Amino acid sequence: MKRFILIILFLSVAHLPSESQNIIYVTGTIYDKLTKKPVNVSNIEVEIYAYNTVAAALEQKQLMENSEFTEVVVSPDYTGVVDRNGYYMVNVASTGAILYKIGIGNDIILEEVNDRLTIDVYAIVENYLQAAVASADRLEIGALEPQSDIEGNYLYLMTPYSIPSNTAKSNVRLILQPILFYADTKDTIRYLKPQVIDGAEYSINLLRKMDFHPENDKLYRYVDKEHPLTSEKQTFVWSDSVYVEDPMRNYTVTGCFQFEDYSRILKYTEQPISSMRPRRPTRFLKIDVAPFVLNPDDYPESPKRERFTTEKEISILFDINKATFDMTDSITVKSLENLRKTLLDVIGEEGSKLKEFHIACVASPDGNYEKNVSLAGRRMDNAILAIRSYLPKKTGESVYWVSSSRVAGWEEVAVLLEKDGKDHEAAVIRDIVSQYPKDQTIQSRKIRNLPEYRSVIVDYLPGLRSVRYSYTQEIYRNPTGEEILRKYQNDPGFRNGDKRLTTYEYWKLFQMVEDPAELDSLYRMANRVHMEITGKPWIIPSNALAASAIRRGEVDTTLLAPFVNYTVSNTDVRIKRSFGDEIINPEPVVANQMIMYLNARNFMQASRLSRILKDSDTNAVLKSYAMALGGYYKGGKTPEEMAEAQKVFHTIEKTSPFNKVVINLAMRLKTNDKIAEKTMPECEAAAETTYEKALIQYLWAIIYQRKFMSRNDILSDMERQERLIECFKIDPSFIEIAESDGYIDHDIFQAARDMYLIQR
Amino acid sequence: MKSRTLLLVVILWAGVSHYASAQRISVGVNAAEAALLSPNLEIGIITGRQTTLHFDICYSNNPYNLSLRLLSAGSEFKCWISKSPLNRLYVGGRLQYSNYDYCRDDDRHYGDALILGPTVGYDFVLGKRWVLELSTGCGAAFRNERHTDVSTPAVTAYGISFVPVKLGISFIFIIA
Repeated sequence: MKRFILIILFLSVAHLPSESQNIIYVTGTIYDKLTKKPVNVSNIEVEIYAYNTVAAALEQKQLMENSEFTEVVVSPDYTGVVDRNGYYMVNVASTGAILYKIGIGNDIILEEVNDRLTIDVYAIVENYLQAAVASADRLEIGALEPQSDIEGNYLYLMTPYSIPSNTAKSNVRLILQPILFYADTKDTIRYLKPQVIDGAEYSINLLRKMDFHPENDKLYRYVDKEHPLTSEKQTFVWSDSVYVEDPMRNYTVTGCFQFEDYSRILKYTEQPISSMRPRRPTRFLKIDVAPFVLNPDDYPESPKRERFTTEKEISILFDINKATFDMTDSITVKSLENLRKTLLDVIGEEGSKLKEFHIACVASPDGNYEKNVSLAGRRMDNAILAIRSYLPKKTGESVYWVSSSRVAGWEEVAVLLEKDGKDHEAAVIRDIVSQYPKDQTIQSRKIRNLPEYRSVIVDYLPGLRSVRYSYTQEIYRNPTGEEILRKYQNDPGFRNGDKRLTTYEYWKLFQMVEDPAELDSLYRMANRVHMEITGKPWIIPSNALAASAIRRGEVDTTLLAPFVNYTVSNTDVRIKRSFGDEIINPEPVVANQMIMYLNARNFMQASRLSRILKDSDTNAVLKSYAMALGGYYKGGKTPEEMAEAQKVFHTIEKTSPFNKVVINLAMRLKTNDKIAEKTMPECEAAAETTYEKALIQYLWAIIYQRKFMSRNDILSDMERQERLIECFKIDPSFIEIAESDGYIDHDIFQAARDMYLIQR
Repeated sequence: MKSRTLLLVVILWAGVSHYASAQRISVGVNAAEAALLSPNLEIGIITGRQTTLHFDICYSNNPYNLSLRLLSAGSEFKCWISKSPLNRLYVGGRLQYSNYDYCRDDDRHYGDALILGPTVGYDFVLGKRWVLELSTGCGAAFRNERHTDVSTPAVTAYGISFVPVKLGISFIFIIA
């Protein structure tokens, strides 16, 4: 019995030490205790620290509560992340505790986890509300501290505005219609979603007017149903997220405030409701990804027959009323000689054959029409014979010779006259043509008798006379790589594009030529040739040109656009064709195009490509850049999104010290500000260029700005200005950046700029 | 009497039916009259953005043992200052027909009266469809009355008197 009791006792105690601390994922929402609404983290700073033991949390809480302006070193086991809507998540031991620091001057809340997976927190954020109420004591409607952030292609706006007492009533409606402008040109871009606030009485009466169908009110979907308008002093918040095509431009929003009753407008005013200095948290993020290269063996070319057609105009005179060339005219002689040389070059080129030759002429309409037609035809036939004689007989027999001729109509003369403003003469000619539409000979006779004929009209006739030729050559060559390179290096005609290589020869040269500038020129020529033959650009040179542009920091998204298929949501999709495998969305091409879009700050397109690009180690960093620049490095509505955001954040942190500082400052949390500050020495050591050195001072100015905001101390105040001045001295282009950057206090910017200009 | 009643009904019906199609309609009860044990009913029609037309009927038969019989029917046109019918202040005009028979200490007055006068009232919004209306008015009454007592035979008299046109504490429900 005793033994039995001992065993039972042992078993009941034995499990105690073996109870392990499980690390669990705790989520929840931070609410304002008074309003019962989630706190808006854009307005108020929230810090969440998790400790694996309650004792550690208590100790830290005491430290934080007892500190005033001295810095407290916070060393939690985990740090929580909170989004704009007050939703947070944090890892913590199931037996640990979480500290919540909300705002400045408010109590620190400690919550013991006790195996809970969801912990909602109700915090008093009175201090913030009081500050807002104090500054809302206005006589006119106005915005209070408008905030705007640009992340990716979205402009996030959040503006509280106050309505003084006795401005509104319960039987009145307020419509706020925001309008988006370009800040520099003041051009209207578009109207944004309105905000409508009804008084309680107005709401009921309008419902009656709408036959108790609220949807009959066109503005019903915009009505704020939770906050009615009253005659008391009130503060409302307007917020919106707006897609902007160019996130590097500055935007401004004007709000049209209209108070109305059932039939008339009671009060109307326009006020700016956005900050002209938006924050761009990831502006300084450097995309340091090497361009991706295509393997030419994946796109083999083989020797094949290629056809080229060349078309030109030629200056030839004929003997008057005869079909023979006027060999007394030096231009005619030279033109024929050039044509002869061209054709001999074509047939003399290795692997080349002349397949077709076309010649056509247009004769002017003066004189007898039938005679003109006959003469023009004989001239062209004669021209064919003459040109054919330039070539060896056998060669000439295998060419397809075509000649054609026509006589221009008098209508065409009228068109030429009208182009030069000679409308009267043109009208007279048209009149004659309409009188004798079927007989050009009579037309010619009548027009010759016009008084204007000799003085005006006859000068326009030579402009109608023309001779054009075109020829088609076919090339088939199968040389070795050495032969191709030798030919390319020795003949300047191939190097400057006067002579053509086949696509097979270009393909071989891509792998043999080493000079980057020469390669670029080769790629362009090859692309041109490929376009002529197939009507489409060529993927290998296009990708190579894109890679070259990326290395130079240039942007050209048109190069690779034809090779990206958005309907296929994956890369390297192989489709069997008769000629071999066709690769849809080659991964290097998609990746390069994504880099181009990121450099062009087109995050919408970059994020589209991010969905196509498959996950891999090589792509992880690139995708993280796209996500970070689009603003997805923080927040998230679901635990999966929040985890993804954290992953992006940590990936960017590892790319470079500069990026680590930038991404931590972008979080706008004290803990991250401290990490950024600790990373600055690494940046200083890594800075090489003038831009980087200036950027370091700029980032220091932001850090000291944040310190000043939290501590209000003189040292931080002085440093933020000094650093800014130093930055301007190193690189004055930062003046323009700081002027419109919401991270830099406007007054400090102005003072720093003035001081810089004095000291310069 | 019968012909007068018939005429009254015809007028009321004509008035209501002309406007009733596809209009917003309300019904109400005057609590002040109800307190006098006089059942009454008011029908209101919204005729415009800020006007309404109301028809009411009230019958009183010896309330609280008073020797009084009263049948009245009236129409009232209201113009709403707030530009929203059945909300806040209105001014209006009332036309009323009454048939009465009142006797006190053998002194009997009975006859018809046509009453005309301005009214004013204020509506309080109680809910989406409920309204509390306080109203009053005074005007002129054109009487065709017979007066009789124990000692004298019935005498017919015509006259104009200054009378209160309305005193209302009405609860109104908007039907449609």
